[in-house]
Amino acid sequence: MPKSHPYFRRQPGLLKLTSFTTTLVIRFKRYWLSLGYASLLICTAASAQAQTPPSLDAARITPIINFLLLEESTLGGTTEPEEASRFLIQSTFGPRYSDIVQLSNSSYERWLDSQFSLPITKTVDFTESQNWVSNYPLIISGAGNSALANVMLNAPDQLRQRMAYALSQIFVVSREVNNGMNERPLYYLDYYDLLLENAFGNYRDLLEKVTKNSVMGFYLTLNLNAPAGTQVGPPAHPGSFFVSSPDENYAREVLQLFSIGLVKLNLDGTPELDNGKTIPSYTQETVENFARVFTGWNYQSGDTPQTSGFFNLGIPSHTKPMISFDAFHDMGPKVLLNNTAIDANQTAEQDLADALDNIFNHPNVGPFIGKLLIQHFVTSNPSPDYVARVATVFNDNGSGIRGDLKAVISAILLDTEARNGHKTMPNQFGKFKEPFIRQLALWRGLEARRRTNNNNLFSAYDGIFFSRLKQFPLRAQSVFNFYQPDFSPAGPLSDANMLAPESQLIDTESVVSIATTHEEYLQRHHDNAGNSFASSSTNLLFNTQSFEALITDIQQPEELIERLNLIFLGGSMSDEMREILLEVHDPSLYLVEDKWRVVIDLANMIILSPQFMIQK
Amino acid sequence: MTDRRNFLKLSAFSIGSLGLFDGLGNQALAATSPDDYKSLVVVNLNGGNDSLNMLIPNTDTEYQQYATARPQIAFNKSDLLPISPIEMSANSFALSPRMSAMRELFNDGDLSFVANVGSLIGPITKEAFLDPLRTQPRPSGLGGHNTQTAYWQADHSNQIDTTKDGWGGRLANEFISNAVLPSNISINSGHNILQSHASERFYNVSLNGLISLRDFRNDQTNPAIRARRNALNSLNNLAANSADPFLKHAGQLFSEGLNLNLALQNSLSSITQDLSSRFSDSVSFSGGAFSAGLARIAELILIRQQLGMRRQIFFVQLAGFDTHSKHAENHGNLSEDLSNHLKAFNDIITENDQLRNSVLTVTTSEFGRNLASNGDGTDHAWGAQHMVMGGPVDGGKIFGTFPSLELDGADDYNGLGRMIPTLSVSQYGATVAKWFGVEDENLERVFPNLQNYQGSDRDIGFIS
Repeated sequence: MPKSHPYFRRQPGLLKLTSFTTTLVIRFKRYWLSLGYASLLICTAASAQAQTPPSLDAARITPIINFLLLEESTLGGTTEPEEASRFLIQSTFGPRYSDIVQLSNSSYERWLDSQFSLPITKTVDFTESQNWVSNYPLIISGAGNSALANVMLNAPDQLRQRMAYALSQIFVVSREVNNGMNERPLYYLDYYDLLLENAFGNYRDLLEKVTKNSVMGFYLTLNLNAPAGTQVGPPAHPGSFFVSSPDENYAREVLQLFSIGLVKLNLDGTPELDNGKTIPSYTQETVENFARVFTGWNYQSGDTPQTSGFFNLGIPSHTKPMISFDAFHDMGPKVLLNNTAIDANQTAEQDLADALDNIFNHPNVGPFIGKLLIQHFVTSNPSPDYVARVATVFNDNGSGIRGDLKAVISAILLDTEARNGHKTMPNQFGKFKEPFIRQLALWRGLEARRRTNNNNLFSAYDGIFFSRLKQFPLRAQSVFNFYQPDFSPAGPLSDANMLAPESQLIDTESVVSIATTHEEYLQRHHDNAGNSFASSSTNLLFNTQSFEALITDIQQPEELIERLNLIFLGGSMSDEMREILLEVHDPSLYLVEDKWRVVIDLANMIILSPQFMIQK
Repeated sequence: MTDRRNFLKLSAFSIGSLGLFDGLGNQALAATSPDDYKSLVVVNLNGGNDSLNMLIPNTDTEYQQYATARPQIAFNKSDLLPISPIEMSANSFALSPRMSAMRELFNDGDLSFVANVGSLIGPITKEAFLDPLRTQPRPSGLGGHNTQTAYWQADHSNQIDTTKDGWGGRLANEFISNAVLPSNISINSGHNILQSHASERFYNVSLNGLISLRDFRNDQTNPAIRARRNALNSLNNLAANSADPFLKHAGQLFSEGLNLNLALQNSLSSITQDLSSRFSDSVSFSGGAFSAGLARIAELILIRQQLGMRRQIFFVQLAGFDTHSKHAENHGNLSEDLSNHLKAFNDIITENDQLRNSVLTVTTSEFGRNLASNGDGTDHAWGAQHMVMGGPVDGGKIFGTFPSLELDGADDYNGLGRMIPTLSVSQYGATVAKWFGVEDENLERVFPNLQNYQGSDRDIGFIS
């Protein structure tokens, strides 16, 4: 096919340009704007390296951007739509077309500001609004799944939702445990809401709330932990026990997975080396000391006021934080990280506060948590400089505050590497999308909504969804999450010494199983304009009408392809890929009124493509 | 090392033509005769199995040490199931009351225990381990689930791991296979370190059955379907030829997955027996996935000839062994599931004369747990006892040296009963690899740390 074919012409999608001159003006303005923007970023980067991180306070940036935007806003966009889409692919559960239009008329900073100020869409609120709850809180398992997916799908506060989702894969609790608790999804939703509430707060607060959380206490067995030599409960009473040594479960995982990791790190996330060897950041002895710190905690009783003791709780509450019982706290002195000692005879509360301060102030936290979040949002193999810039913001948000997650996520998304890595380091930048995020992006991109007259997002068909997709929130196999941050699959990635954590979920079997899940949703669950449904097997419907409007001639789906390209691939579709799509589109297969099927079939091909598995 | 076969080299257009898999082998190794079939089943007890509550010393002093160190967790002596290991005193050991099926197998000579196995670079004494200068090499990250899983499944020879190879992948790589399926089969466990290898593939068998894209189901002649199939293949090809390693990996993997999926649609349809009912007598506490996995392994072994398999390595997991809490209930239930389901599996295999001596099952687990309890659970430790099962096993024995159960005694390194292993993963695995058909001089390719063991130390002896 010759290059002059119409589909090779760029389809801006957002702007109806009338003359060559207008194009030039817009091009020029954009160039000028991006220069201005780039210099802002350069300033940010440069001062970060000078160890004096600037405040990311949007108040300082917004006026400049507003000035730059002045005339542009009437022309329909200051941010390239492709770049807006790419930004939203990184920071949400997938863009809808309207999100792209909105951001292209705004700026990243203004978008972040508006996301930060949106009310929190909570999963428990959603659940309670659904009248599902006949035997609260023992609501059925499927309702818990529905609440999570529904909120993630529709919540306006998408960045907060993505942040909580990332945090749920760092501070992991899982319903994949084989005893009663997994059948009480409301408790897990309550934990998820805790992550939502603290997503833009301070890491230190989050760490404390997670530590005291009842579901975490259950999952990593911190509850009922007691000092060596303690009889817990009356001897011979069911469930009572004598402690030879405190439980080390939470002590170990809070250090290894939630805060500092196994080895000492430089600011840029690379391991500190001593004669070429890594240096452990703690020892078995450290774990034993922290295990003693975390003694004396158990669930609150469901009664108000508390009437029962450490062992005898009555009916425990799992939606209130755990509380301390000093009679069951190890009162001895302890030695924490960096040989910091804490005194004897402190209460459980004091010890816990001191220990979490000790963890929080360890120099590893910034690079460790910063790099994990970069990997979740932007790229699997960030340059050490990128990690250092983000860790610097973690260490000080510019106002002397350590652990400001709002500043951290802004630094991650606005960093020059996040914004330009796809151009400056195309073969190193990017990541595999998680299967669950691919599925959400498919739903959002094609305007999925719940069917009316039905109050549940999922149906019986969706029961197999999780097992085929290999991933669902709060269902990791263990506290080590669905995948490990240092996973590198055999083949081109490990040959290039590159990590691809999310690809641990993808093997020769699951790659087909996951794709089939996407496809079945697409093929079964569209709304073919007349509101008659191809299948009643789900309560989720796509709305293809706005896409159908792009097909003026069924022979020429170019405009439709560009729209799908913009939404699902951030406009990155290659000419070769476009050619393959145009070739497989066979107009003779469709009646004129079957435009919806053209949309579904072309979307299907893009959603299945390996190109859609990758985020750039 | 010879890498004979690389699925990735097959183009996206070789779909369904099994013939392409033939003739790629270039070196005749052990697996030559059609009757030469061996299958290794690795049962991973995920979470760190507390083997001290499975195999328990039944002599007075040792039992007392056990019972005193873990008061709420220890079984009553009268509830234990005594065993008399060959070459040891009568009733000197006992099994958990939940593991009567394993006692039966032990007494029938189809099961042995291997004592105090763990992640080690080479032999290490307590004195050397506690030496503050740490001159004697030892695994890093002791007590970490992921780090110790890596040692167990990869047998790293150095502290900073740079290889992503596991010994299952390396073991398969010692043999030629022209079969449709890779030699390594992961049962519902996806990627695992054991079966990772740069050129040796694994295939995950999902318990959901084989799931296929609508256009990739059997042979399709409909032109529209063929066109869509070709388009997806072209997209995969485009990605696989990209300079971007992410895209390249995605395209290669998807091509390979679609090829295998099509090929297996025919092969797996030759499974005629549903063996899951053989496991139904067992009480299942673990949600049924473990017994379903073992049933699927047995089904696949029974159709080995249709699949053209000569050597197979299955990886299946029973999860939930991280019993920091509620140990008595949870570990007891897991023990019973493990025991009953392994016995059911072994019964299916051993009643088939051709298979009886061709299938070996071994347990792995990232670490054992400490002898002292934390109250209602136990914490991460190091060395542990393991089970080896099947016709090839010299059964009814305990191999190695059972650790002293004295707290702060000869084997405990910090007073809470964390045992320093006296047998290494490399010795344990090399004994298996030798049975599988690897010559002694090649064993170190599969188990690098075996270089630190000489002579009779290179074979624990549990194969008859």
